[in-house]
Amino acid sequence: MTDARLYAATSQLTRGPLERAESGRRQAAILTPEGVELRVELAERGERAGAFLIDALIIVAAVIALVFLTLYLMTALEGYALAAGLVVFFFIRTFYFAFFELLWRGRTPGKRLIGLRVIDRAGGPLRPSSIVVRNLLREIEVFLPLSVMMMPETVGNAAWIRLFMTIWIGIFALMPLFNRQGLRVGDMVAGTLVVASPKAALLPDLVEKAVSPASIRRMQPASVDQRFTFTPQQLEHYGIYELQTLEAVLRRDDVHASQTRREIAERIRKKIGWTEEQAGWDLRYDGLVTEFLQAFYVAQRAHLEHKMLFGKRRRDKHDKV
Amino acid sequence: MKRTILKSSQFRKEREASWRELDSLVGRMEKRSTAALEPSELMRLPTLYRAALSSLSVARAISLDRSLLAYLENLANRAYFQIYGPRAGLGEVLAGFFARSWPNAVRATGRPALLSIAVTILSALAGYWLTMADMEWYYTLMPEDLAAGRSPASSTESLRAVLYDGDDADGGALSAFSSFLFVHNSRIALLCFALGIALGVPTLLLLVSNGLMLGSFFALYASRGLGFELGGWLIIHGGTELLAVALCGGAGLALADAFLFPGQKTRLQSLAERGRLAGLVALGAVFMLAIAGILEGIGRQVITDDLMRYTIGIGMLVLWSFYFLTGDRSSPQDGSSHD
Repeated sequence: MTDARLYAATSQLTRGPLERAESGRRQAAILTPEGVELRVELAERGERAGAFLIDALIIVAAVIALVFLTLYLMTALEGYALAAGLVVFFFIRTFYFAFFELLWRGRTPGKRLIGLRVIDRAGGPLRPSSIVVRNLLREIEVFLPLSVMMMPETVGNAAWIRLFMTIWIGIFALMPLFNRQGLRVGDMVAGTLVVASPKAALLPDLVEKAVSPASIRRMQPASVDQRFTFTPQQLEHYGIYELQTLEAVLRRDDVHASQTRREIAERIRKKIGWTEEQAGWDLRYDGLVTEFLQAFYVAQRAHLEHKMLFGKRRRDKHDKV
Repeated sequence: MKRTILKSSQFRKEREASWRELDSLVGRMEKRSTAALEPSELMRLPTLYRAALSSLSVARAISLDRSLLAYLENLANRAYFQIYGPRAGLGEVLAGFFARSWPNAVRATGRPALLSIAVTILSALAGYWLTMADMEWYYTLMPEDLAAGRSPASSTESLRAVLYDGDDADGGALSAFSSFLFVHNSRIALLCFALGIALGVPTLLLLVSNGLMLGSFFALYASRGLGFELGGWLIIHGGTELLAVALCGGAGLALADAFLFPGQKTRLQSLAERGRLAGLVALGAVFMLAIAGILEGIGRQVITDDLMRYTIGIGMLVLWSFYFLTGDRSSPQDGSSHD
């Protein structure tokens, strides 16, 4: 990986506010080796804590099982069973996370259940060494705080040493709370990022497929935009933000959807200066309202996309491009 | 009247089939693994992935269909995760680690490792001189639980006995003892590495206290004329063990160095670049400590001849040095390119 690429990725991460995805998660951009910028959704701190808790429970369960197995085997094998048990315990504790992240491409059972995965922060391939390092650092993030908490109360000045250590270690254990990307110390040292990996479905193109129910639809889907014609002036009112909000409203399918559509259709009608007769609809029919909105959506999208080809990207209605 | 034809809709119609194909391949890989794909499908994967990436770039430029953009972004993400996840199997990773990554990483963190060896030796000397000058120092420098009753108050005979008393123990107890030592030492070594992130101060403290203990313990035996015998008792496993701890300390110091002196890079970048190498060194140290554990728990109890102990201990050190200095020199500049 070149310095320039790493620099680009890191500067993107450390400067400027982080955008939020539709899901509400914060977004970050990585640059793939092909040179395309991909937007990834950062895992929420709560999600990561949840995944960790699941993994921690699995480890505890495995260790309890191991103790019983060792005790059982010790009746026959004595010291050898104890020796093996100790070593297996150490390996479970130290390499559980690294093992699964290597095997499952950046996921542990907990991350898999919650839907998270580890990626390279700069967008390159996730390297085995990154996985090893980010998990070795758990030694000071998890195990050291645990052993300090369980440290027996001792005499004299131990109390303030204890307080000092708690603060000192707390800084490392709570690091995800102190930076916007929610990086823990291990992520910093390994150059990794934990992202959510949701799955999105490809929805039908609103230009091609009519939304209104067939029973009310009077026109063929393909000719939906022929019923209404809009002048270029009428399409100058809105920008991309409004267009995509309209798309979301057209794709909605809940009980309040038709009410919302009606209100929006009415607002657009007034904005583009049509009388109700010109609009040619009867507000009593939901299907007609939807047809009008879809026709307007198609026309508006064609208009905005056309302008975009000439390098004019109008963000929203306040944007004067 | 002519129907409006949108470029973005045309574009989608032309490419949709290849997106769906990639979608189904990636979906199967997510459920199982690369093994879920036929060789011919595996061949198609990179092509489809690059096509999806280019579709994404085009779509960003010409389309305002939000659901399409979201879908392509997501598809490119999922395909990227599958293609740029760690590619090698576990066996391959281990083979690459021992053949290339580890010796490369050790060389890359060579200077902090030398510093940490120097710190250990200097504090051992300090511990030795302090204790030789006044035996009272032994009680200060040596923790009671590690001293295990060996103190200036012990008789020379009992001190000597400790060095050669392994013969009567049985195999089971010996192996339990050696795995206990391995687990304990590995924890300390990994901690030594991880604490490097705390600006290296705790790492240095650990190294210094380790050295002081060693020097003080040596002084106790040397004052009874048992220095040579103790040397053998220590070096058979201690050469490997101390080297592992020193390497871990060096890895920790490398972390601190990357954080404190990032040069022209940002601290995060600097950490990410050097942190990986340091972590590999620490991982390798766990392997060294496993060997040291076997030497200490079993080898030392069985081999009671001083010269034999020295031969094995020094021999191990020579082997390690040879391995670290000569192992895979194919890319001395960039130790991270292989791992």
